[in-house]
Amino acid sequence: MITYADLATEAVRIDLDEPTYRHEDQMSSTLSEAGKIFMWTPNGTQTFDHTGKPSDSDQD
Amino acid sequence: MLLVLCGSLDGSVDLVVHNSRTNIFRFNIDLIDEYSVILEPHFWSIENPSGARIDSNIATRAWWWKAFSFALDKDPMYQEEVKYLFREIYAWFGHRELIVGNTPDFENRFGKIAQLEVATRHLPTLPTSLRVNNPFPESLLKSAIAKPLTSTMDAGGRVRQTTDVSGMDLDPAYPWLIQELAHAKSDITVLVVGSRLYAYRRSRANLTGLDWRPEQFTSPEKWELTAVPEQYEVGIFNFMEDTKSDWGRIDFLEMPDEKWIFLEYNANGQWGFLEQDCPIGLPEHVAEFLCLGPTKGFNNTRSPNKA
Repeated sequence: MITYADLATEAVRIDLDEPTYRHEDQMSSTLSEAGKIFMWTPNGTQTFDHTGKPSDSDQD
Repeated sequence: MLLVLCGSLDGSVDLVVHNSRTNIFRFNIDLIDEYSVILEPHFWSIENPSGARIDSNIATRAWWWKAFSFALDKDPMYQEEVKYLFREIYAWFGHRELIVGNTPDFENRFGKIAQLEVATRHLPTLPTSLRVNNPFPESLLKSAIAKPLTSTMDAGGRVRQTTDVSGMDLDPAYPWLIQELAHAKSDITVLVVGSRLYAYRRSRANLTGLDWRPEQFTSPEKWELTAVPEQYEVGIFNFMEDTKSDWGRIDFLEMPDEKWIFLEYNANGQWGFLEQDCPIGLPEHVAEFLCLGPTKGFNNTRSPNKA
């Protein structure tokens, strides 16, 4: 019988350069790079950290 | 002044900050040790290292945006203390009916099945069943998909995608959410921003799997702006009325006959990627909504199914 483990696959990851948050303008990325910070996983969109490691497990 | 409770690495918040015409203060949970904070019974203030400041005299609204999605590189005790602080500040706004967007726990009170219960009143949906130790109905034994309920990874760092399955092959001891398989031509996602709808279409013609998400970084396919047919516009607003919300992203499938089928409502769904694919000035509209739109309190969110 099929279990969750049988259907699990490697998560999609992206690697990003280390961003620097700027308190002066309250932004962490150039706008051209902003899109790379939005990340999706099964069931919805998630925000990933700068290494591409998923850090959002409870909401889309 | 709008207070955004978030993390420092969120591109959607970058877009809001960049496109807002009014003052915003960004409070990043992962940089908590860089802020100066005072929280007392009759006053609070937060100041960042550049001297920007917000306090209880000038704050007019708050938007919670995935603050707890950001890990703090500290021990669990520290993390929980910081989270408590964030909740306290957010609650100050909630008790004064100064919240915009949805509360961070919205999905916990309005899950996938509850959403479908509401959606079936207003929009086309697919037969869906969540079962443990019960056989699936005949209609879902073939040509069905299994959808994970959460995005949690297993111990090996792997995730479950939406997968086509046969209901008869699934271990019945596990909770399975099974939905009828629909052969759609496009994905549709609609961002609800107050009284405005922003709908985008993405072709499924070149998808190798069932879900476009895993392929978004390797596929040239883009989201394109599309109109919302009147019957679905009415249905979406009725759905939102029943949920008592004015914000979020709704996913649909578009069938070959152009019928839209409701999939799910992401009460705190990301949206910045849509602007990347299809620049229409969406961040300006979102910023205007967050800074100038109606606010609400904790008590305004009633049970969606008691409509």
